[in-house]
Amino acid sequence: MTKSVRKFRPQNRIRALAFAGSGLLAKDAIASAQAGLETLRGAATETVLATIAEMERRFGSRVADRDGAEPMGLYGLAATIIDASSCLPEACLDEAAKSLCDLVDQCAEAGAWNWPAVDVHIATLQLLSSQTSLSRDERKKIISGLAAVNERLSRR
Amino acid sequence: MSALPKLLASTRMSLDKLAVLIVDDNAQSLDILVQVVSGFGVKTLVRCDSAADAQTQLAKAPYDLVLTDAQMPGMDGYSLVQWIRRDAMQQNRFIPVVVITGHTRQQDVLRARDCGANFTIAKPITPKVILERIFWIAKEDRMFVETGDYVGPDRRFKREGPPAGMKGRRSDDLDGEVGTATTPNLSQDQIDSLMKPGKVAI
Repeated sequence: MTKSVRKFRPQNRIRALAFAGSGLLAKDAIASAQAGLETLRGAATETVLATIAEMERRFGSRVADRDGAEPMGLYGLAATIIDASSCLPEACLDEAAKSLCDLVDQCAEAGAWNWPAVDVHIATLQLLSSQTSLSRDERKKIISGLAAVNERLSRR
Repeated sequence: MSALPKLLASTRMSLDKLAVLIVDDNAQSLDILVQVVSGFGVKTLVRCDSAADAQTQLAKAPYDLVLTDAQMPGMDGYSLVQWIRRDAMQQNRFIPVVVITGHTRQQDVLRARDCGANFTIAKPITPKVILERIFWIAKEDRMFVETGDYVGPDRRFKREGPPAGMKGRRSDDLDGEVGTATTPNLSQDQIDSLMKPGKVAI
């Protein structure tokens, strides 16, 4: 059976309205947007700290009988940190949170938690959020350590 | 219309004339997107905390761009895009839509592509990436395709073979009912290589 296919080119209003050669410079638009994000830095920091605290409370090493924990709960908390990281780009928190998402995926796939690896990720998020004096290189080294943890688990 | 050059620091733009709809169930994420887009000079900016709210707004007025979160309770961003492409008012059916997601596994990017979105952006968002994608949309000359099961920008890609380190497209997709990830999150570059349009040799 042949299905009908319609192909057409809709009007590109963004091109017509926004890029006609006048207005703000791209670099100024980006700087203005970045300045807007700076106004949210305090709230984003609070969100990150509260989210890490919730991770610790629900999934941390002091939680009794955490094997029944729902993976998507931890995934959602990591995603909240990724969201807030737009305002804290230098902290590398998003990379640690993405590594945690990868780990949760691996655990979900395996059908079993790897709690030592989860604990390392939560501790790393705490470290990255609290130690503001860490350099970019130091942060990157810490992140590569998390990647190594996940890599080792994926080979098992 | 002549081709737009590459986006440069010196490129000029007047985004103040655009009407933009932003959808995210997370209030802080909405604030972040609003700060970025208003920083670009957009004046007509409507924020929605759910896909249902977005549907209401899209039924009221025409928009030039939609930025939507992918994962939302109830109707998610992918379903919202499908609704826009199929059932929104005529002036909004073919507007550019960018899906923003923290879950950038390959199957999520393909789901964004297959729902009719123009581009996918990985969180955390940055002003530079958002502006680049708006510029890409301005440059786009992709045809729109309307078939029985798909409405959206042409999804054909350059025949470049599978991305580096991967065995082949869709070879590791899971059934929709399984849904559990088997691949790690993709980087923004990897997403772009999947979403960027190109001609296919037939």
